[in-house]
Amino acid sequence: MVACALVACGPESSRTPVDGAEAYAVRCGYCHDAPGSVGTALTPRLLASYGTAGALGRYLRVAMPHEAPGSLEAAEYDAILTYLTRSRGLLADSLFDGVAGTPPDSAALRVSP
Amino acid sequence: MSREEGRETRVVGPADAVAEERDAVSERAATEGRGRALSRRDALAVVAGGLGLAACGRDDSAVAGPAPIWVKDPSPFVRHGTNLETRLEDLRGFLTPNEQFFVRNHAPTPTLDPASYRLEVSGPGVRRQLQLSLDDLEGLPSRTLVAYMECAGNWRGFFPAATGRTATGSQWGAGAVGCAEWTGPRLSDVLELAGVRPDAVDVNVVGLDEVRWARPMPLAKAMDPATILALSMNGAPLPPDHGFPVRVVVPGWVGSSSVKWVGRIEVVAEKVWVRSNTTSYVLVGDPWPQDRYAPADGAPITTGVIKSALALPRPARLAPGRHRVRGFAYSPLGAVAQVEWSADGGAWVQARLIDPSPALPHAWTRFEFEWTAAPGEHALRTRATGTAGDRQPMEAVHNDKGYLLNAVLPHRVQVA
Repeated sequence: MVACALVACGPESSRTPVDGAEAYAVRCGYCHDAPGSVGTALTPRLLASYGTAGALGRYLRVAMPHEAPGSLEAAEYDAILTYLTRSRGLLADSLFDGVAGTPPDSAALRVSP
Repeated sequence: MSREEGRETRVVGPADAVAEERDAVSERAATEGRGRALSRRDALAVVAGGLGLAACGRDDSAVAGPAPIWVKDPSPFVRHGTNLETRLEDLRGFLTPNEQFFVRNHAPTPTLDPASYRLEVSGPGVRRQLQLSLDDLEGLPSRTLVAYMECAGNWRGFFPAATGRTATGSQWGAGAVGCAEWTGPRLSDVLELAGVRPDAVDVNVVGLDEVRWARPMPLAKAMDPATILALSMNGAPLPPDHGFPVRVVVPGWVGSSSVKWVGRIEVVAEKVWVRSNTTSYVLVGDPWPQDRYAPADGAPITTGVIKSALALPRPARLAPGRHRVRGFAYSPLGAVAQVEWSADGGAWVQARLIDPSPALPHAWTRFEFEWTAAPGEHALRTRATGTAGDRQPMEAVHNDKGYLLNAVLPHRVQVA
């Protein structure tokens, strides 16, 4: 928690970009990807069923991580949302071009053919 | 962080093309303004709460939680993500009080305005599209039924003990079940108002939560007189977490089919495939080859399974001596005929059914038996048999997503 407090409160570190793939691995992958663990596989179809990037992002913030919902920093949630939607091909790449932040809330999630 | 601006409360979805909804899993056409999402203020509160936790390092137990997932007080429950599990040992009566009824949410509970609420009945399977207000629904002939409702994943947390393998998903104990009195018009009466066309096949019930949770059912199930659009639960208007203002109650089917916050009922001329019958709530594993069930990942679940569970914590701790042990038993196929119990692998003995009621075929029954507990570790087992001839099996079959576990399992009791 000390580390968290520093990250969240420090005026400099608050601008430190969070690596989405790494945040996902640390915060989510241990449960969703590890054999024998309880997290549901995050398939493109499952994620797309949330409809929009905004809905998926809100779900992540209120429901995840399963054992401590709402406990991540906002920047981590954003980075994980961006990572998930990009790595699963749920949003057109053009939405991300030159944009460091999260996709627009209204962006529809679609499974790539 | 991106923000939604100007999103308005809107309780009736736009007239999405039915075809579009049909393959909602892969082509989910989520557009802006479809139902109420969290307000901007809620979203800010969520973010601020999360930051507060991280920044100030408060004792987790002191933080009420930033997430407005439920309206009800979550403290009586065991929490699993967005879900709340009932502690069966806290239940005293036959009906589960609304405050203690388990909650299985796929998204936060939406706030819907009853004055502007409209239920849309549409699709190529009806002769005319309807927009029904709450007053319209309340003006229809009403039916009351007592029905238990159970999440398909109830008991999932027992899979390691039952099959030696963990199943993915919320690790429910035995408390994702409850029994309530539900009142509202029959779904069939509403469909007949719209006029069902002869070529109608499936009736898809779509919720107004953020994920538009939906579960299609065959026309025959929708027309079943026991399938109702509940407006009240245990004599009170539906609580927000249980679907206010309207939820469909589909007795016998797993809880995910009793869609909450119903906003649209689509009647279509072919099978409807959505998340709840393709990737979620399907039996996945060796006995269910995927190629046999395409486009679903496995066998879609409809009907639940017969079960019995003791109203004791796990593990239970009892003082030595004579105890009256109680529990709940239920079957999706009709009333429970008998419950047997056994201590430490001994002979099966009949338990007494407290509420045996053939007149309430969709309800659960409480049961009880007397047990003299000697100091030490014990295992109690119960086995229910239904009037339809169904009975809990002694062996469990694994499925990867952990649904429908109902094998006879030991309930550990420590007596000291």
